[in-house]
Amino acid sequence: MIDYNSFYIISSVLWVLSIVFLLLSMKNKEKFLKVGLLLNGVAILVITYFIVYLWQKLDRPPMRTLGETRLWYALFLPTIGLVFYLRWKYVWILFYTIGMAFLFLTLNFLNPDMYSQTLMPALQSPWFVPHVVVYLFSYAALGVSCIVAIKELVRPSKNGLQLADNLVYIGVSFLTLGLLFGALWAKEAWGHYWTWDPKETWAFLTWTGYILYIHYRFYHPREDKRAMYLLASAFIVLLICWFGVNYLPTAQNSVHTYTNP
Amino acid sequence: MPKQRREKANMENKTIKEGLWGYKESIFVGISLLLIGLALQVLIGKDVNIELHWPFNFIVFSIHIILCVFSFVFFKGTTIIRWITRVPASMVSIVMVLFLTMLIGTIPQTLENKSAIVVLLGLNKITQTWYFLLILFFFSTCLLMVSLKRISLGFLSNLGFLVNHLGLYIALNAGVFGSGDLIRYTMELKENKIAWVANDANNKAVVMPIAIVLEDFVMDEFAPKLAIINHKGDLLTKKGKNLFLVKKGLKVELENNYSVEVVDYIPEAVKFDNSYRSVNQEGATPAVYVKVTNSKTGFKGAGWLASGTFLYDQQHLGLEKHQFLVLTRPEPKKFSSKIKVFTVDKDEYSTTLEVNKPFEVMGWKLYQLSYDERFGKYSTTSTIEFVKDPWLPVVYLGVFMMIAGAIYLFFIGNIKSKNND
Repeated sequence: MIDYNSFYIISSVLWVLSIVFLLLSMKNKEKFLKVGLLLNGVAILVITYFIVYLWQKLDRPPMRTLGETRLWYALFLPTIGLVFYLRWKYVWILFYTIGMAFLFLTLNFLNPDMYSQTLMPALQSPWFVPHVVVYLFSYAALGVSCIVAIKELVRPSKNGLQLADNLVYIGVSFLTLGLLFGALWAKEAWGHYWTWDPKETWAFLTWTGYILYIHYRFYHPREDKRAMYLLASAFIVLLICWFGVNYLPTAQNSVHTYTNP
Repeated sequence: MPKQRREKANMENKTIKEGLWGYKESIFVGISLLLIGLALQVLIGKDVNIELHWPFNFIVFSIHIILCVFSFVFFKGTTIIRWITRVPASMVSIVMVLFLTMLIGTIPQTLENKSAIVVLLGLNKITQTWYFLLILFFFSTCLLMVSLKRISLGFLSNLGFLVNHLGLYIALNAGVFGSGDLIRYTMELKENKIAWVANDANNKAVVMPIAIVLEDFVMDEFAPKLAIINHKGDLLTKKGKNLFLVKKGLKVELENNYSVEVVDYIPEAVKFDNSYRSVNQEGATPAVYVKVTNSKTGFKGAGWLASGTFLYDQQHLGLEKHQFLVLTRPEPKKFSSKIKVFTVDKDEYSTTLEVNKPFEVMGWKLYQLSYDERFGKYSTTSTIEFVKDPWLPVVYLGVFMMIAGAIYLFFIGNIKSKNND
């Protein structure tokens, strides 16, 4: 039996405490901030440990179901949040990333997967892990960029645009790698690198959306607001690619829908 | 930053003053191409196949490159060339591609779609339509022209930009033009029989320069799983439970307070009277002997369960309230074809084809495709696929340039933000 719940409870409690300390630190700086950061760090380690544990227990990479991808998201988001906090010193980015990780864990808690050890032959490839990890890391970075965009629209700040650009460049570089790794893998597994599978199509659309943002920012460095609208809407395309594809009329022909064992 | 912004602002003002083409013109061109493409699709779309084959794809591809280079070198200063090498044209072309791709991602791209308007506009095969072709032409012309502009501004200082843009140009066009030369055939193999005739997509027979003998089709399966079903055959196992593969000694808690202990597990068994014995025989089924108890109702039971195969029935165990404990059919873990390959050049190879592990011979790549699912691991047929994709090295050149470009983007993102502090 995989003891999912105790891991969930430990990381959730750590993250809630981390949020409490971060909130306290807003009044009484420095002192509580470090505690909050430390608790966040420990929670990240717990989730990392859980993923490793799950990987060993299932004897396959835990990346097959939607719930398993949420787990990786819950790992990458607070990690990116922490790194970007250390780089840009925005405390709100910690709140957002921890909050989202908490939300994703809660989703998994309320709507858990069945843990199945089976893995279809097509997924048994050295490409499986890099393809998924690179994508989910990119999704996490672009998820943060979406919140940066919304925050900039509500309350613009001095460095907000650069923070957004920074996240988009990192996110897009990983998105490109994920797309290309997928193409190289598809050639080995299915005989062709591009078949307009709905997931491929939407992955390409997501990529195009962010490419548009980069070009817009390059050409209109002053049009902050429109750029931020564009950035926020690009994330909608990403979400369709991640979850939404399953509900589109094209989904029945997809080889990419997450399995329900 | 403010200095840069001012410069940019001046540039934009200049644009307006000098009457350069901008967004309006780009949108006009984009929509015109779309409409011309739509008209062509409606008028001749049904009769004219736009797929090009060797050497015509190569010729058209070369003409595109030559025309772009020629017009850039000799007409650099003209309105059109200046327009197409600037961002508004690029962005509009990206939006057009985005729009058509969104249609591809939403409307099922199958020929089964018989709606008159969909068929007329080719919306069920967008990638083979004239309007898609024209928009791709616009898009890749932009890509090549901006690349040429950057090369003229300094090859090394624009290397990051160039691997991204030229990489995409090469991968995209090699993919599009190369699709005319892509060949995919399937071949059905029977154990210990020689085969050299394959089928194309339309099920037409093709004689191959390669003959194949299937020596053995081998499939490894995962162990089966335990589950509870109701009288309708629906699985009761709730989400959040582990569906663990059975093994001897496994103890699991299932729904409705049932606990099950696997006393014995035989991967290949045949039923004799009331029990199962290990028999290494065609059609043998996985079987387990289980003890079941229910902590709440006090139910106790024991018995054999079998997954069943094409030859033997499934065996289940009755629980309370018209529910049954069953052993699921095992899922394939790995399947492979041990084959001998003979070429017309009198070469001979022995190899094993497996999903994700193709084999290359005489410019063909051989893939494990499928098997006769009715028989599962006892299938004696195996279907393999022959793929020839002569443009692949060119596509990969573009792909690897883009990988380099992605790494560049990662670092430039950091450098840019640090410099702007």
